Formats: sequence, structure tokens, C-alpha cells
Amino acid sequence: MKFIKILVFDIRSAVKNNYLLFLTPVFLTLVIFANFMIRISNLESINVISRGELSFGDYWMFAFGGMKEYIPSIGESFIFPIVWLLIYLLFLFIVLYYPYKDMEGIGKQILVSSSGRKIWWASKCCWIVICAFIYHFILYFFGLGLCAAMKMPLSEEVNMRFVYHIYEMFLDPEAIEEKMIPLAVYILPFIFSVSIALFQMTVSLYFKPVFGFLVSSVILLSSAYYMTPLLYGNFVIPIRHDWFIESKISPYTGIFVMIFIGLFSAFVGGFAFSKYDILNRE
Amino acid sequence: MKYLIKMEIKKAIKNRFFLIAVLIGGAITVLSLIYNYQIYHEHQLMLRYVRGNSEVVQNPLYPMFTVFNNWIGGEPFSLGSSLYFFVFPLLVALPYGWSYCEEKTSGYHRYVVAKTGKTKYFLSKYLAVFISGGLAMVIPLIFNFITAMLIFPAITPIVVYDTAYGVFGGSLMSKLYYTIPFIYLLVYLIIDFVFCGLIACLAFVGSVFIKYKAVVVILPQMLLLLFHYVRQYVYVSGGTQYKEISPLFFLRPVQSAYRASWVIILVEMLILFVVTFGICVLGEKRNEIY
Repeated sequence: MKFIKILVFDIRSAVKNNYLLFLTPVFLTLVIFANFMIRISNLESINVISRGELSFGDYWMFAFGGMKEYIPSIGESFIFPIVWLLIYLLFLFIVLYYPYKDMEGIGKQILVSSSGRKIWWASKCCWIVICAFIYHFILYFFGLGLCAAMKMPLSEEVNMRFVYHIYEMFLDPEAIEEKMIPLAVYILPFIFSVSIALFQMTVSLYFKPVFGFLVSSVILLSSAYYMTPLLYGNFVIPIRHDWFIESKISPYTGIFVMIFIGLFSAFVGGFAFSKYDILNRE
Repeated sequence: MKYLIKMEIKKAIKNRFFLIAVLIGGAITVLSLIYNYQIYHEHQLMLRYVRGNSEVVQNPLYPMFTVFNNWIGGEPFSLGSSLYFFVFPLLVALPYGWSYCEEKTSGYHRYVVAKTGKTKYFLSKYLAVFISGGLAMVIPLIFNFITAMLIFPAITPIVVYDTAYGVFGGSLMSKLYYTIPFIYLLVYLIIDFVFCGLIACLAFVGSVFIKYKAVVVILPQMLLLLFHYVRQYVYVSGGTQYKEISPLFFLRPVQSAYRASWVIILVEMLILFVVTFGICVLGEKRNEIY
């Protein structure tokens, strides 16, 4: 019962009143969709693709696709995938400060009255899950709504010629076939956001929120740079998945890895928080 | 006034966050050094092998491996270089960008203003944030360059190998690069110092409106990333020779995507200065602080 009360308090103070959590995905979707339409116009003007051939799956790959494998070579400098990075970094920015601020403020009273640090920590972990759900729900369904408004088919089909042009993946045109985005891939961004936000919250506990954000940024950029399952950001770069190209990055493995990292971070964070000196820490 | 400036700069430089920022920056630059050394080492092994099998090596390609294209600012390929020029807005705001936020929360600024006046307080604070931000950017770069000089020869770049340097005919100060590369480097370090000092002052601007230190320190990076996204709307035609507008790219001494331009650099510097100085010094001077 105490846990539910704390969670309801967190939802009231940091979800309901958190305008950034609702406005950011709306703004982001609008901006990304506008960019998507501009790119389609450019490709139409050079007769590569026509608008009628594209669907929601193409928009989704445009927004969440990431970047192709980077191979350093002369003339090919590393251009990081700004759209993909912004989606995750903005979420990390939104959920960065509330747990820390709550611990310094009213959370101290709650900790005393609830006499359970683990309950407080568990509530914060659930709060992150709820925030991630809201954020990606808006990103997904608002994007779906915009595609419907532009009379685009709402299918998971990916037009490979479009994706190859957007991501400059020069593969054999005869090998191109239409692909369907697996359902598991749609939930990966949500699970990844939860996992990395929990990791960030745990790091923020040991060091400061700034360093938690810095470490998360480094993980994201490194994942974009190196194509390896060891950097788990690769699991949310669909154009590197094994259903899209030949690679070792499986979205199904990614789900397990992310859940494991999220749970591990929550566990380590809970343990660290139980020893945390709340009163004397700045 | 001099005493206040000296005190603020001392507080900005002699604090653990300045040291942490410089150490993190230095550590990231080491990644670049390791990457470039590996490539250089493999090239040396290949030359040794070729020399072992023939009497004459037609072209050992010595000018391709010079310190000027193997330090972190001279190449856009390594993870170290990509990371450094991605997280630097956070690193420059870390030393002292949060200070006004903290002083507002504690009320310390009231005591100082009572003794010295608002103008002197805000001006000295602005200078301290500017200098600490600029230094946090250039110190790791200088460290990386000096370390690279221990490994790579300081061969003056030759135009024939321009694809290996990333500084082309139309690039910013290319003439200087191929004649006096040390001056080219110095000019770019000055540009980085000034620009990053102004980026650190964005955190000061954040402090005026936001009361959370962590948010204030991260704010410059988020703003620059959002500005970087604007490129998606500017660079729409494949055949046009655009100029680079994003500081995340043009602060590199080498061309990453598009050429840098003095006009864009100076205009953006001016805008940053007007906004940060206007809000932090002139604007806050008018605000009631008691």
C-alpha cells in the first residue's frame, strides 16, 4: 500500500505536471515528420520514389532507423545520427533530475514516513517505466496519426529503395525485396529507454546526475560508431538488425539484454540507495 | 573589480569540476591517439615488409602521416574525436556554468552584490565562466597535440595528399594549413577557446531561469544538438556547396561534412555573445535579487 501511495505521488508530481514529458515527443514527432516529408519530396524530384509507395513503416525507419555501419575511411568521416540520438537523449534529459530532486526535497519526508528506502527506489523505477511508456506512446501514435492525415498506408512494410537512399546503403538493387518490421522491433525503443534511464539513475546515485547523462551519451554515441552487440545501443538501430541485413544483431536478443541491464541497474541502484547518506550529501 | 575577477577566476579554475572536465576530456583524446597510432604502426610495419622484399620503395607516403592529421583535431574518423566533439558542450559547462545557480540558491550572491554592486559581480562571474569553459575545451586538445608530437613527425602538409588531411582547397584557412600549420592550429585553438567560452556562458543563461544545477550544465549540449538538427532542413540539395552551420562540426580544425566559413563562425559567435552577455550581465543587473 505504501508503495502505491508513493507511486501515485510520483505520478502526480512528476508525470501529470511534467509538461516536457508530453510536449517533447509531440514536438519531436512534428519536426521529424516534416523532415520526412521534405526528404520524400527531394527523392520524388529525382524520380527515385513516389509518395504512394511509402507507408508508416518507412516513417518509423526514418525516425528510429539510426545509421548504417560506420567504416572509417578517407573521405568518410563519422556523422552521428542526430534524429536517433535526439529521441533517446531528450528522454534521458526529461527523466534526469526528478529522482535526485525528490530525494533532496519532499522525498526525504516520504522516506522517513514510509521507512522503506527500497519502496522509494522501486517507485522511482516504476515512474521511469511510466514516463518511457508515455513518451514512446506519443511518439508512436502521433506519428501514426500524422501518416494517416497524409493518407499514407498504416502498414509495417518498409520500402527498401527509400531506406537505402536515406541511409546511403548501396546494396545490390536485385537483392532488394520489401521487408516487414517485426513487432518486437517496435517495442525495443521503449525497453531501451527504460533500461538506459535506470542505468543513468543508478550512475547518478554514485556520482552526480551530470555524469549519469554523460555516460549515457557516451554509450549512445559509441553504439552508433561501433556495430557490435556488446554496445547495447545497437539493438535499437533497426537498420543493423539481422532481419534487415546480414549481421549478428538480433532484436530478440536485444530485448533480453535490455531487460537484464535494466533489472541489474535497478538492483544495484536499490542496494546503493540503501547505503546512501541522504542527509549529508549535497 | 580586479580582486573580484581574480577571485571568481580562481574559484572557477581551482575547483574539482574543472579538473574532472579536463581529465575526462584528456581521457577521451587518448582514445583518438591510440586509434591513430595503430594505423601509423601498421603503416610502418607494411613499409618494413616492402623494404625487406625490394630495394626501392617508390613512395613511402611519409606526408600522409603527420602530426597535423593525426591529432584529435586533425581527423574526423576515430571514436575519440567523434566523442570529444560531441560531449564538449557538457565538458565546458561543467567547471563553472552551475555557479550562479548555486549562489542564487544559497543566497551568497546577495552578500557579494551588497559589497561590490551588481555590474561588477555579474561581469566577473561572466568572465570566470567564459575563461573556465574555454580552458576546459583547449587544454585536452593541447595535451593531445603535444602527445601526438611525441609519436608523429611534424611534416608540413603537402597539397597532393589533401584527401588524407581533410583540409581541401576551399576549406577555411587552407592556405595557412599548407604553409604554416602551427599558426593554423593556433588560430583554431583561439576560435575553440572563444566559442566554447560562450557556450559555457549558455549554462550561465540557464542559471537565470532554472534552479537545478544538473539541468543547467546539460542545457548547452541539448541546445547545440537541437541546433545541429536544423541542418536536416538546411542541407536539402545534393549538388549545392553548403557551409557548415553547426558548432559541433565547424569547431573541428578539419572538415567533417561541409566547409567552415568565417562569416558563419563570427556571426554565431556574435549572436552567442549578445544573448549571453545581454541576459547574464545586462538583464540580471536589472532584476531584483533581494
